[in-house]
Amino acid sequence: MQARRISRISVLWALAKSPAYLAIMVAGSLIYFLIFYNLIIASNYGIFLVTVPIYLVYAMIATAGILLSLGAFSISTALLSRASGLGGGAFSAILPTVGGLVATCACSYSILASLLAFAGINAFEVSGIVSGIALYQLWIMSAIVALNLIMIFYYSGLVADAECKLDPYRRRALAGGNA
Amino acid sequence: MAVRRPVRRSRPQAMPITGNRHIAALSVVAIVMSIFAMVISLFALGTSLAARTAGQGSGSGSSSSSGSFGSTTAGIDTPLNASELAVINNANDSYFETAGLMLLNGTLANGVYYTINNVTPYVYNGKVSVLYLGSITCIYCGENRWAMALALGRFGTFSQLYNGYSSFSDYDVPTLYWTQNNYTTSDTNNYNSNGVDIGNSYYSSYINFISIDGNGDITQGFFIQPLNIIGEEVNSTGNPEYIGAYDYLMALQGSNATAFKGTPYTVWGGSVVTGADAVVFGNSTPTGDVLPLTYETHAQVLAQFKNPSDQFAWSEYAAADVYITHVCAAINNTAQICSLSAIRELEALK
Repeated sequence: MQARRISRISVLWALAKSPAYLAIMVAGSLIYFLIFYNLIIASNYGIFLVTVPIYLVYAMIATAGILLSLGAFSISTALLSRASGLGGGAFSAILPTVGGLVATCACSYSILASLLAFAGINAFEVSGIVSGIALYQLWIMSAIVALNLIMIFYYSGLVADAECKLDPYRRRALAGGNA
Repeated sequence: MAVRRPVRRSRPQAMPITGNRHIAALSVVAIVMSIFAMVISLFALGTSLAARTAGQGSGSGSSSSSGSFGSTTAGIDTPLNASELAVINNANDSYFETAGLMLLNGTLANGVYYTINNVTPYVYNGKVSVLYLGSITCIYCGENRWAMALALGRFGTFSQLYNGYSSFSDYDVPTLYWTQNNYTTSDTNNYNSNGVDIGNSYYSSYINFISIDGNGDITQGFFIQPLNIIGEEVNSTGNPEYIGAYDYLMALQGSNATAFKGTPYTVWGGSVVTGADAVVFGNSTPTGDVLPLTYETHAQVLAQFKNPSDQFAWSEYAAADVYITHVCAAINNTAQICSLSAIRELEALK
């Protein structure tokens, strides 16, 4: 018996069709936006000052939400190891946080500068890092979005491969009779 | 003998999660989403490239006029005329008093922050100093230079100031430049090609004003050279006042409370102010990413300072009061402005 290969799109569609995982996706996106928003205003005297195109921010948040839902799906269905699922979820949280630290004016990198100083980096190096981030801010945000898409591609592939190996009874149970 | 007919055995069908009938629709959705993502990415990168190309296309100029609010360099580098300078140099003390009282009784709609980080002042030629380290591209430097100029105008005189803007990605707010930038586009990938604007046209019998502004391409985003590059630029001037000031600033980096955490980075007598002391972009703190100050001209800003009647003007005067308070404490209140009751009350909080 040869199982039909499940596509990545099928995995993502399964998430979108499921009210639970769709809710996780939406809630995760909202939470990540709140994290991003609060990091920005904490660095900018209470002003939501974003110095990158806002659609990059939305793309980052949306892809992080999808990644979170994918991680939750893989954990709950035990299709992947818990570590793999948690890794996807953690990754989905890290990048919006990074985005919140760099998507604003580098002139007010108080949080980032404090973190770097706490890590033992001296003022010269901190200023150099801040200058570099300011220079490549747009590229960094684009890379974050790209990384999220790559991780979605990767994890959906893992889930699809794992799902292929299931016996038909378990697969039917996962599908919930949606064939 | 009966013919045994072969028994057809059907192969068990796999049970995909989604079902076959959705595959075509999923493919369409996936293709649309992929195209959408690619369009967004390409547009974002293209916008960046277009901005860089436009910046490289425009030459130096002191009277360039281009773009609309948010992407304008109209009048950049032009010196303020006599009446405009008078708004800064000859502001009425009563304005500072009123604003200071508003700050003390909490009736300002904008954030003005009175923080105290005491240090030993930098003294040169027998005078305490006001030190400024920022960037012409920086939005907070741009906004805060108005308050700084008003404050410095109480202790001395600017013989010249220049119209300027923060960078386009930093909301292109109208501001003052301390020195004529001779603004030109430049290669922001090469820190050394941008230079640092050192010096100003200010004189005071009470204080020194030492200003260092990182240069950068206004049509792009925030840019500042690393501190070591700035130091090299300062040292290359051979000016002992500025070399000593840079060394003094670097000595402050040993403490987290006084260390550089972004621009503007200022020292007012014996007080370090890390960041802007106020955030004033309109008559109240913006709730979104639209800043009213972006849509004002230099003339409109100066008109508000000349006859203050709105929260923007009062907040800027209050921000100036904070700086004035620090200086007054360092010069033992020997300047006339230090006798204002609001300044005395703020000083008592130190």
